[in-house]
Amino acid sequence: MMTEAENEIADGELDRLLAGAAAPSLPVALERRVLADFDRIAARPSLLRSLRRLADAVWPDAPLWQPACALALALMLGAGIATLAPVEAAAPDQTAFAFDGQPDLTPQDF
Amino acid sequence: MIDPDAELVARVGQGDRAAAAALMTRHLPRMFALARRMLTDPIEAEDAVQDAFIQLWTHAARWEPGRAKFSTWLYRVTLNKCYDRLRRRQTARLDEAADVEDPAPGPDAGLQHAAIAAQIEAALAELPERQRAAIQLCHFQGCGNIEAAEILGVSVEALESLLSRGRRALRQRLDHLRER
Repeated sequence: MMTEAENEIADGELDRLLAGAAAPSLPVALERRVLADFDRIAARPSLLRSLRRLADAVWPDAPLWQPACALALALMLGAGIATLAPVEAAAPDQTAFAFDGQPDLTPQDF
Repeated sequence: MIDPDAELVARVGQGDRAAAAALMTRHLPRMFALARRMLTDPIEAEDAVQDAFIQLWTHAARWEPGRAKFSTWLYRVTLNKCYDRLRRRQTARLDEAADVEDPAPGPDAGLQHAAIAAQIEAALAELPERQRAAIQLCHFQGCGNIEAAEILGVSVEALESLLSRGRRALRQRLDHLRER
């Protein structure tokens, strides 16, 4: 009576058989169908794609979060400066004078 | 880890058709071979591959390089499309694939070779789907064990077990092709 192992081909022979099995041939129409799908999807308006294009123009080859973080940081910095930095209120124009009045010749306390 | 597809995927995400064509040329033959052997039906294999590419075209803009190797993700998507189709099949198509006539040895070596190839395909089609996927990825796609395990979503040990059981089943089913 044959054992189970005797009913099997050897490992090497299996490898040879598998190596001899040709890859399935590729249908020509499939490439056209796949690219047609791409054209259809690329033609759809996409906010994300537009953002990515913009980000790539600003910061080429960077992931989207990098330009987004840089923009957010710049905005925060700008807002911080605008809020916290002392801005002198526009002082009244002290060089104003009138031709029809007496000139003020008292020394200014600078 | 440098992903050879990362740049192309980024360009596809921006709507670059040339990059899409290059990416398709690079991966389509292997994706189709994977789907063809998983599903055995060429028309269904075409549809599964087309679905996988639609998912790629739709999600390319959201692809984040560095998280996973692109080809691993793509083959996993293809495999999942195949699993979806296999699940939808209520009737056992595997039985049909197994009904390959035993070829009589003829004078035409080409025909004989084709008949042997058909028997190998039939034996592969008889395997449980995960064993078939493991054999397909490791023997026909040239994936290493780690990559194949990632594509299948299993541990390397589980992949090795799938491979071992699949190879054993094939050795038994192809016994009649043994060189005597």
